[in-house]
Amino acid sequence: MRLELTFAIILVITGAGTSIIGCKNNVAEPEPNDLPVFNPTRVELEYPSWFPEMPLATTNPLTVEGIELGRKLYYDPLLHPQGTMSCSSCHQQDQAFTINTSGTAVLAHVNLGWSNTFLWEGGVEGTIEDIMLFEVEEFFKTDVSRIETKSEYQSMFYAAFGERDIDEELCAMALAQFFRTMISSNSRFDQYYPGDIQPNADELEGYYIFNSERGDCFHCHAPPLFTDNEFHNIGLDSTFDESNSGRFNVTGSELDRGAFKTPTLRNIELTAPYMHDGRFSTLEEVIEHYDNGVHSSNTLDPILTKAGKEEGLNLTDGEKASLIAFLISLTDPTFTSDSELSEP
Amino acid sequence: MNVERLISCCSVLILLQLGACKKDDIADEVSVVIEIRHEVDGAELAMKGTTYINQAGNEFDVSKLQYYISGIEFVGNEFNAVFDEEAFYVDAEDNSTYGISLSLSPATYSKMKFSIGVIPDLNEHEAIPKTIENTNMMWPEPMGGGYHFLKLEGHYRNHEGESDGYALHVGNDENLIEVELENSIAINDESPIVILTMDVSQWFKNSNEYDLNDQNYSMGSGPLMRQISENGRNVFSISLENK
Repeated sequence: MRLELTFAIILVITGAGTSIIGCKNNVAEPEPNDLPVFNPTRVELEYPSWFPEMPLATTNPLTVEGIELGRKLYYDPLLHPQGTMSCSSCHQQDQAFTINTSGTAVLAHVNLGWSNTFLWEGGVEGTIEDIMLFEVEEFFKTDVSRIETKSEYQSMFYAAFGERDIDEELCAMALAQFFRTMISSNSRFDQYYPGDIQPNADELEGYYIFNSERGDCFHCHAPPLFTDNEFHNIGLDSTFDESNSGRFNVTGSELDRGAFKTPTLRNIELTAPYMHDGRFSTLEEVIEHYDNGVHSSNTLDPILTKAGKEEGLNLTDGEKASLIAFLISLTDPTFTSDSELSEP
Repeated sequence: MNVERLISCCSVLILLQLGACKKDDIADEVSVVIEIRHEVDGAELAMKGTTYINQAGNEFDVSKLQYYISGIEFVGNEFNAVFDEEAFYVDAEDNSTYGISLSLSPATYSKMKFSIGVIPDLNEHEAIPKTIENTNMMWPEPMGGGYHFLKLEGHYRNHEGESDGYALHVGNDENLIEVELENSIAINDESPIVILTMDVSQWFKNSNEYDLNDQNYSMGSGPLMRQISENGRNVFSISLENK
């Protein structure tokens, strides 16, 4: 009888325990004596209600510790085998996490948490974890053993993931967490769109040009992310070789020749030069391209072939100025000065 | 308390816990699956690269076909089953968007009705889930707001024999495309799969012949969107397949 009662009590305790565990995500692991307690603090991202919901990874929940680790890695040349460059070498905060350089333009690290295609040609598709793993394994070719030897990193990885063995995947997961926090959502547009402030006359006219058939920018640069994450041939060239074939280099589909990923226009004022090859130095040159410089080809995006606009948009000088005023209103100074995104 | 009673109580507690993690079953309803297919004149639609000839003689391909189905209604003799709280996004390039699962009362329904597009109650920003796909389908507020009902894009050979683009976009409440398909649909525990097949060629011919040389871009043109909307009533057919 006593044995049976003991069994029953164990069953009750086990049942209750099962119930509790069934509703929790974190399973505590024993911590080694020389490492901090593994008890990561979950983080909820904040962004405007009219933004789409950011896809999150259930296998990589956002935590204070994971984000802090990702931020440290982002700024650490240790990712590079020779220690000569970090992510931030080519993605500088005051330039909205890109850099003004010649040759292939560097895509800005802005709101990539909503992206599912990466790089100009879409060489990586999937989650932010996928592109970060590419960066660690293939771009940097990180020597993880150099990170493992640093006691500070040992502590940080354990605090973030409860793991003592550091590998490329954990590095990618930490970077992905930091990237999800790189949210730009506080430009003047983000304030006047919901009615918190009044746009000036030029911004308002530019908003209407952008979001109507007059400019027809919205199809590819869909607000509020100002990218559709797709690939388009916008008529920069009419003939193609490997250097300007874009998406074709990944898919092999002739219909993708000359198509490149739509970059976000958020903070576009700060992210010159423009286009995949950085051929334009100013927003005025970009507007001129759409206004009268589009080249025909078999793969020119259908949106740019509207009857009556074969010669371009034919905007007036005033309309061009208003469109640029609108684009400048997408600049987010809080993003470029946010201390939580700065070098730790 | 005797042991048996204690064990019973414990078991009930565990079962209650497990039950709390499951969605309650909806009594008296059965599930039905709607599967969407895309064809051109009887052949399965091949995106990007395969060319077709429409009624006006335009050689065309399809690079994008995205749209919504909403306001689904199964019409019965005694009652109708109405689903007016969701808009289902379909992308012909993404077969994960081809299926719609619904729960409805067992009965034999005589007709299925739905809209291609987003019904007015849902056709305003943030009235449907804020997914990236839905964001990309937004219809700009300066042009009326809401969502694109349809994006059908590709290239065609123009009069000069050169490649040109076309974009058939439809939006705005007045252009909602209402579809009615008659078929006897017995919904029960062994319901068949309801197959909705879109014949893309119908967008260009029935009842308005649509010549891409005359009109390759519809957005912003009320008359063109109305023509496309009228043709859209005839793009779907219905059939049933046993599971």
